[in-house]
Amino acid sequence: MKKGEIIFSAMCIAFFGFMLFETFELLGQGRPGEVGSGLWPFMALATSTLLSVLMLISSIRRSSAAGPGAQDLTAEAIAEKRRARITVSLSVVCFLVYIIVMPWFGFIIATLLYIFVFALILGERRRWVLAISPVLMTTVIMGVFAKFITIPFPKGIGVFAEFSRLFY
Amino acid sequence: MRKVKTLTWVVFLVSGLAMAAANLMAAEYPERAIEILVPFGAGGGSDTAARAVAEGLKPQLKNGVVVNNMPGGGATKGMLYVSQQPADGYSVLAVTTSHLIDAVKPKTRSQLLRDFDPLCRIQWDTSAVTISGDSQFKTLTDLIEWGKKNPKGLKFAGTSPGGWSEIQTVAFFKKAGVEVTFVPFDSGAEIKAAILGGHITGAVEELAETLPLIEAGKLKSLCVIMETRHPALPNVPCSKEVGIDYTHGLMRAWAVKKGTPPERQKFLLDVITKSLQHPMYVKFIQDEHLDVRPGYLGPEETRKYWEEEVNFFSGVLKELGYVK
Amino acid sequence: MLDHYLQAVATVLLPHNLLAMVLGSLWGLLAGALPGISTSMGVVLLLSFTYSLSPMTAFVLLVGAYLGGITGGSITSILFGIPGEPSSVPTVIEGHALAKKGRATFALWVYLLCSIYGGLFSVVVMIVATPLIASFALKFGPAEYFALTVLGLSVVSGLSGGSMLKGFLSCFFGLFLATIGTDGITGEERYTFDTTILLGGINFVVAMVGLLAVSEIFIEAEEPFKEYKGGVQYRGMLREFPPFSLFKGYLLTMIRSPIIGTIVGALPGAGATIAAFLSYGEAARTAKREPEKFGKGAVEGLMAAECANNASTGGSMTILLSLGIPGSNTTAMMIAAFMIHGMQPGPLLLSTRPDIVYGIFASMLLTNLLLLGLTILAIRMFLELNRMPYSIFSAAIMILCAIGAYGLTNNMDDVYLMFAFSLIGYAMRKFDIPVAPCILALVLGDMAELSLRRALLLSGGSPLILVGSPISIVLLSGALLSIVYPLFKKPKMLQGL
Repeated sequence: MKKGEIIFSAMCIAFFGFMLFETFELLGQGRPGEVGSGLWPFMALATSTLLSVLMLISSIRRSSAAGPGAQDLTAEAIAEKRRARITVSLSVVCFLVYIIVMPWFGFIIATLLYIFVFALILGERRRWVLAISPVLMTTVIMGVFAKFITIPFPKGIGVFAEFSRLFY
Repeated sequence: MRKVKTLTWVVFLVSGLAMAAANLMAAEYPERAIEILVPFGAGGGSDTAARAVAEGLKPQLKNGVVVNNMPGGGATKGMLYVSQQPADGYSVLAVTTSHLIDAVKPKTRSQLLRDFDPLCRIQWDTSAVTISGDSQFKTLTDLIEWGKKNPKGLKFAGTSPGGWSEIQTVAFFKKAGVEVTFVPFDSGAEIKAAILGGHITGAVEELAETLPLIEAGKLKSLCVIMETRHPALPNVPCSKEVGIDYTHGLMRAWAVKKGTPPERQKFLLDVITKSLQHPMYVKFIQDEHLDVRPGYLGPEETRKYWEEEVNFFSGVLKELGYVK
Repeated sequence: MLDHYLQAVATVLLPHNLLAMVLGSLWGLLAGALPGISTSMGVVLLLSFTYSLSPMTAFVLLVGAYLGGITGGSITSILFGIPGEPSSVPTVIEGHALAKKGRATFALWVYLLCSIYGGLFSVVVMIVATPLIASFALKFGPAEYFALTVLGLSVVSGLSGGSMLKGFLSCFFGLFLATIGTDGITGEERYTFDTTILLGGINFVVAMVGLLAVSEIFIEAEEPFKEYKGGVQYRGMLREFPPFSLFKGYLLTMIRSPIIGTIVGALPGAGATIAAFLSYGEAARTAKREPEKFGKGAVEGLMAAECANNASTGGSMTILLSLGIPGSNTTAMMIAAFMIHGMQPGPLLLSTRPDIVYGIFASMLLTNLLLLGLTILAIRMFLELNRMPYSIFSAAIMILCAIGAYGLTNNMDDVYLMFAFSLIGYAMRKFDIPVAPCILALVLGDMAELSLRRALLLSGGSPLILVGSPISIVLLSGALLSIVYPLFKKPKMLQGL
């Protein structure tokens, strides 16, 4: 964890530092009398960068104080940790894929597949749940959001658009 | 995994059938609902106007019409969306003056005159110079004289920096020879509260919104920006009367993506023109005082009007320093 | 005067109006509870039905939806950690933390009682003191708005949990996020990198759904598989009814929060969300008992937020009915309803249509009472959702979050942004950086910056305008006090630096 925190702090510094760099071209812009477009974000970013540096220093100091030896985890705990990490990564990827393919496949198909796959990732193995739920859930969501309150969901392109138009 | 496969097959089968069915029907345009895209949030001026016209369209289109809102980025997000749709006449953009102003700016991602064909202009709104009811200024002349003595001393509020609101405020007072300070706010509601609370001098805004407060004497209008006096405020002079040659107003129009087949454009123009005579729409524009200046212009006139306005705006924006 | 009210109550109690009230409130509760539909959207969707109704029935319906929406937003916040409404974000932070400790039904009771109390309080204030509130709200110019937001931001140390350093980092990150997009003063694009996705700025709902709700699902995914949700343990509703002494113990919060709510609700451009946050912040600042609990399930924070967001309804309606100025998004939609029925809300409305004005007062009063019962029904319904298979439940929440972000502008851009925020939120939780200060700063940051710059435009650059009125001076000295005080009181919090 200590290593993770150091990397995280370094990333914060990089992010805020980059944005701070971007701010310089804003600094001159403004209406006469006021502080301009750049000053407020400059203040926020400069402070953030400073605080990230402090965070980095304090986590380095703590990690050197603690020293090595934090690695005495059992094999079981390590396996559990790895499982958790894989599940989380897969659910992140799964959601990302869902929102990326939605404009192409249309809302209905993307949602059906997403519910199915995400349930699998979370460890769902009951067949009836996997078979019924995606259809049921998609139907309910379509009924409420697309039909009743007419949110114009993405319909997809080509064949998928034709398919979506059958429903909404 | 077998289930996934089966599911995929079912999906493809159904969509295939749907396509076949659609091809069989390959009927006349419009074979599905026409989408009217309002690039502003629900409940705003553009939205209510579009919905009022859509009410009149409904009986004419058997596959219906949907009004969708896509606010954001000062009306550019919605315009960009329509410009990315196929030019098949199923997506209609509700255009306002802010798109014309956007056409002048260097950073435009989609340009109204380049990417769209106008159908018609539907409304031409009237603005007015409005100040607090208990202000020291009794007439526009008082205001202008004070403003000439105190350059930048008059603080006028508006909603869009570099947009319609700022342009009409600055351009109007420039014609009158006064330099004012423009203070941008987030919404018309905040501006009204700020005028009533005496935090700012006033605003140049569309008249209909402030009319109830004017009638109650909480606000007063010094001048309506049009060629003749406004029937709702017969005692307030118009800009032409006081010798200020400025009569621009906020316009609302409808457009389709460039390249839409002419017969579809013609069809849309016909149904829209018809729905503008719908009793409900007529009542709506009467209530909102949008009938004071005739709003309707055909496609050719609309294009010409747009080009003139863009010319005017590019001049003003250059003076303001938004365009180099 | 009194017979006006009696007559109005009698009209509202007519069967068809009563039916409209029930339907409107139920719809509002549902719209509020679902993250995909905001209260103002719920009201907009009802507008088209009101064409054919009589004006009084129409307003009873819309008032029901408005109050129901503000109330309903917190049910899903407490139970599932998804804010149904932006105004219930503090409720997510405190209420959901309580729920995770197995006290979901207790949190729901506190929320419900405080909501109704806040709502009723503001209606009473509205009836008694409409002109007073209206003229007080008008005293707020840019300088006063600035002072108010500074006061709101100054509580950040109270929300920081263990480390001041991380709390402030989160806060300044939020302030930066608020500046992204088109600058409201110059029209300049800031940090958009010439894309359209950030052009309109970061919608607060997108950030909050990503940071709070979606990242919560990712965190939960780490845990071993469960067949049913069961993550929220709760006891029967009857057994968890909070004793009166609980509220008496937090007397100051119970009196102050609805006042804050009513006033902030009356300020155009502020509204329920800012009211909830300011009141929540005030509670965090002055918490005598267990201030360390804030962010981890403080009952006092929950009370403060819920009293205030419901109390904002009275304030918003006051300014709408007396001046025709909408104090919030939802009341802006109400203006459309007035126009549909050929009325113009404004100072003259009370003399031209007293029946409508008093009718709205009466229906707000009665709707609040009705909501007490209806919300219990809604809560029971949502508790049933805990019986869903856990995996499907999580999937449904993710989809609802995506719909919530999509529905804001009907555009995928906001969904992608929300995804980015869910990753940021996940990282923040992993590294113990509190999320609350970031969201607080995102809500208030924009208003703070723009009102500061507006004030300077008005004064021609002189900063003296910022302390030019008694209101600003009081608010700013309160802010100063709450920044300086902890430095002396709790110097050990600085040791984390």
